[in-house]
Amino acid sequence: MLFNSYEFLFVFLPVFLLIYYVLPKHRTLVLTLGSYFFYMCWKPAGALLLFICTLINYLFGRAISKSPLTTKGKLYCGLSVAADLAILAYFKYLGFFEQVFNSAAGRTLIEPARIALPIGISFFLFQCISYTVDLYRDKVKPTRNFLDFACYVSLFPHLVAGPILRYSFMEKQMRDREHSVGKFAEGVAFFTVGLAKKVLIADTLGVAAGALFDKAGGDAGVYACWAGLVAYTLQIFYDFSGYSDMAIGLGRFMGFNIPQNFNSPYLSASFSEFWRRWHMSLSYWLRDFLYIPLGGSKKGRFRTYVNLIITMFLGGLWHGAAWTFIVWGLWHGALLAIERALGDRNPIRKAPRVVQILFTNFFVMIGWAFFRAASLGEAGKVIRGLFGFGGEGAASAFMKAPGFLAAAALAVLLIIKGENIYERKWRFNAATCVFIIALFAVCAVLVLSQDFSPFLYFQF
Amino acid sequence: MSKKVGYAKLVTVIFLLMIFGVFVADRVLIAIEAKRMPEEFMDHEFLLYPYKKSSHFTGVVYGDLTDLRTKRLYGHARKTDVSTDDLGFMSPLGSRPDGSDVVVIGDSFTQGPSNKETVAGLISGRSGHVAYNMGFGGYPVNSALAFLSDFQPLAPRDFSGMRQKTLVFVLCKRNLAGESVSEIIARFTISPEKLERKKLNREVFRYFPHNIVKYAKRHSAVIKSITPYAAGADEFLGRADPASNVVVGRDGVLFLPDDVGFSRRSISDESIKQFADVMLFMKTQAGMRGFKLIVALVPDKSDVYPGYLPKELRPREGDTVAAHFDKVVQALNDNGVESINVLPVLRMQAREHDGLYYYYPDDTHWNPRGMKVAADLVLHRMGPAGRYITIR
Repeated sequence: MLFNSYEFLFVFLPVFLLIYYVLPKHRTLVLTLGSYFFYMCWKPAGALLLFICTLINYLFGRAISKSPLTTKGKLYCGLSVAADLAILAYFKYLGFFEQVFNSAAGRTLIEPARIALPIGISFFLFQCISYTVDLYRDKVKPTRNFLDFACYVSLFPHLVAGPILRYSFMEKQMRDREHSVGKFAEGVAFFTVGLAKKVLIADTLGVAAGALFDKAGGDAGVYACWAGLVAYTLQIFYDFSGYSDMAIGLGRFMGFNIPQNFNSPYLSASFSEFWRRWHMSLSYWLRDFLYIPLGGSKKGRFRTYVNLIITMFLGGLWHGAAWTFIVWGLWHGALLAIERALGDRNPIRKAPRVVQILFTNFFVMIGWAFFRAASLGEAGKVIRGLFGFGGEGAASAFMKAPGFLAAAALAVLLIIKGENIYERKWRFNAATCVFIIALFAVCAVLVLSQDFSPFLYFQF
Repeated sequence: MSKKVGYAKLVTVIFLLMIFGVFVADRVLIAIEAKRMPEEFMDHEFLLYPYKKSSHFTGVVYGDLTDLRTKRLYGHARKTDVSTDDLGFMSPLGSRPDGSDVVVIGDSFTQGPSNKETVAGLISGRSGHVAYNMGFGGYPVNSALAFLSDFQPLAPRDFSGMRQKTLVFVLCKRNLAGESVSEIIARFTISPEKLERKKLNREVFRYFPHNIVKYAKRHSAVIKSITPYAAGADEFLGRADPASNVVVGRDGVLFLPDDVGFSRRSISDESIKQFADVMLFMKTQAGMRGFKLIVALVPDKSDVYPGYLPKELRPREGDTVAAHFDKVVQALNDNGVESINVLPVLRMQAREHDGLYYYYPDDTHWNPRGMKVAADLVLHRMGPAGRYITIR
């Protein structure tokens, strides 16, 4: 059940909000049950795994909280992290590693396991890890009870696609949070903007990206390669940040202040700046629970570079069990390491900021080719195509569709000139009111009709 | 200050009204629909497009309510005397006792774009037979059979009221590489225990979240009201661009890459033998239930009109497609399965007309003229039972 679906918007959300506000004394319980219902809409059995992970981390958390910063606490913390990583490895990486093993052996030595990947597992397990590690570090207090913790882990606005919420951030809000009309209206604004980003911009641009990667298999001419890759670069930002905005909006409906996850990343003038602005909750998690424990930049220059590459390699692997994600992670790791090595000697730093931004985005965009492609070969074709060494496929006719061109122009314009809605002080007036409601209505109509395909090609 | 709070309230109230409004409207409309329709029909997912002699339908098709969307899309209303059993099998009631009845099974080529413009519709319209369209777009023909629980040996059903029965498989080349007989048998044979388990699972999971939301969406009257108007939005946003997943040929004629691929792909003798064995199995199964089986081999647009393909995709050496079709017909003959090869007839007749006479230029499927050729061939093959037929 996606946020941009009929089931969510017009079935789950109204029923949930009704129950949530009718039963003010049982909000945590309603929220937890609602979140489990939400999660079970994918696969009922997935909720069992979510519950088991929650229980394991809760019990370890209790044990750790009795002896933080001690050897005993460290042992419990290590065990809980190991358990989380083992669960993640089993569900997400076992098939991939078996495949790699068989490829290396040249024949099928292990029959690949058919394991369904539980949706959002990477997100909720990372949250669990942050909880137990922060308990060990004595940075947070343990939850009051199991229900609070279950609610924190399963909170449906961010359950399946983040942001990754640290318990330290949510601790106080789980106990006490403000519910008000103003906050709810802000939530409507966030949710609507996120929905518009997803439905109007990302999905529209996705056609161009799909034409390059899915239909042409990356084998296309210069223009089509640039169009497809730029479209994907924009699509992934609007898709993901739209989802985060919707999560923030939904959080507001229930009084939560969910942190910002994107901060105009395509205006970054360097790769390190990009990672401070892109998927911020993951970047901070990787910094605090991986990069710094590895030694960060405290163990000499060479180790710093290695640590950066290891962190980004694992960050890439976190996104998915495939070589493309690994190469994407290593690509960014290498870019960060080179940037760090060059320091002030980096010639691009002397260029105007706009050049630095374009330079950064070009390399980021190359990275997206790996991220989106089905294989390394396909990514290679796209990258070769960018420089005129690709196929002959032309860009499709959607390029002439006025709505597509408008969405592409709007996407670029909003990046350059758009206001960061997270930093905005929402003051509702007649114009804002009409804009938000009209935008929501347009998006709702598209959501309601998105399964429809008027051409027989699509229908059959 | 109060004015600002007022606007915030307004946004909140309108938003809530919108999401609750759709929710309530759907519940009300579904309740109204349920009153008009027996409860047991509410859950069936399978669609059936039945044809009567009159080929005129009014009212509602019993079955999945999502069919209402199709009804609105094509501007037709249908009312049929069709009931379903608990496995989704459709059994026509009160068929004409003097008719020779036909069931046409296939994929989107069979399903067709509207009520009349289908092979079944044309058979019905041209002969007076009661013809049932069991075409399911997006499914291989063998999978379409899964919708016929008639083929489950442990749950036999009969087309009551039918006398002479003909089962027509409409198959394109892509259907040739399918399952083996053993795989088909495994799929169609359901043990009583498994059947019970399936029923139990269905009951147990009926009220699980994933089924509740699926049910809500499937039965949403609001979605059905809005979808016909989405075409314009999709076109405006460039999402409905057919050129994004097709091969553009001469004169802007569109081809599906898959179809072109199949036209160029060689099919092994082993695959053809396997296909013929599957059809023999189907013939036996159909015969046990009083059906005569006819397999209609239908070409793709690129098979009939290769000249419209882009130069680099045109077949280079010999006519492999015709050779493949001949091999398939021979293999079916060897197994004693009756077949119709539509390819040579369509090719021959296509030469007499300019342009794409038998296929849509911007769609992969044949048009009613192409369907008519196949319908006539089927009726011709049915022999004396197929009346009012003229074949050029």
